[in-house]
Amino acid sequence: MRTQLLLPSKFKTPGIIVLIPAVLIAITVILLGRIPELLSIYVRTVTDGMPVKSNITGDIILVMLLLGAFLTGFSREKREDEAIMKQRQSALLWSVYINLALLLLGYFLLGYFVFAVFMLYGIFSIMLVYIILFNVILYRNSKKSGYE
Amino acid sequence: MNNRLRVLRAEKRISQEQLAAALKVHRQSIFAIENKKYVPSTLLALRLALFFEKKVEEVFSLEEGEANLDAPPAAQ
Repeated sequence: MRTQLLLPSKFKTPGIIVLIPAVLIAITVILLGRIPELLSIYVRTVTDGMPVKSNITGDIILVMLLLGAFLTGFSREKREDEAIMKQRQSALLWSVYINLALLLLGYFLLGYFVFAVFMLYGIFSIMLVYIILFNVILYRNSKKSGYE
Repeated sequence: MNNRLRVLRAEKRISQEQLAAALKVHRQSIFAIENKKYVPSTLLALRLALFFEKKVEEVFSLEEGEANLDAPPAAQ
């Protein structure tokens, strides 16, 4: 993994600011079992161009989740070097393993339609697990490495 | 892989933070290298040696068993 492939570190804070509320709202939506109608706008249909009212709350949450996870997960650390990149790589690898294990479990334990929804969560969980694992690894290493 | 980073650093009387800043790496990386948790790339190893004005072999050395090389194939 080359550091050039990452975003500048200044994008991390805006990413966290977008990601945390998006995750909290998404959890609320999952618990409620429906998308609250907070923002509705009139959009024209593709077929006949007639204006119809559409709830875009779900779309906004989705964009916030993807954008927040992208900015948070793929922004450089203030001093990104090869050792940090190795930790990033191992967090990403573990995240893929965990996600694959969850998908496999879901496939066998859940029904077809529930699994389809579960797969949708999988799109975000791979990024969220990666972000959590990477930051836990960084935190643990910073605790281990006392000042000398 | 063994290294003499801690000794060389003590000789120069610099902290991990100062060494990390000089090499533009994270302090955690210096800690990880010193404690054999991370083997640096050739580039970083050479830069470390350059910083301490030593040959790379004077900073890093192979542990027992790591130099276990196969004999080169016999010439035809």
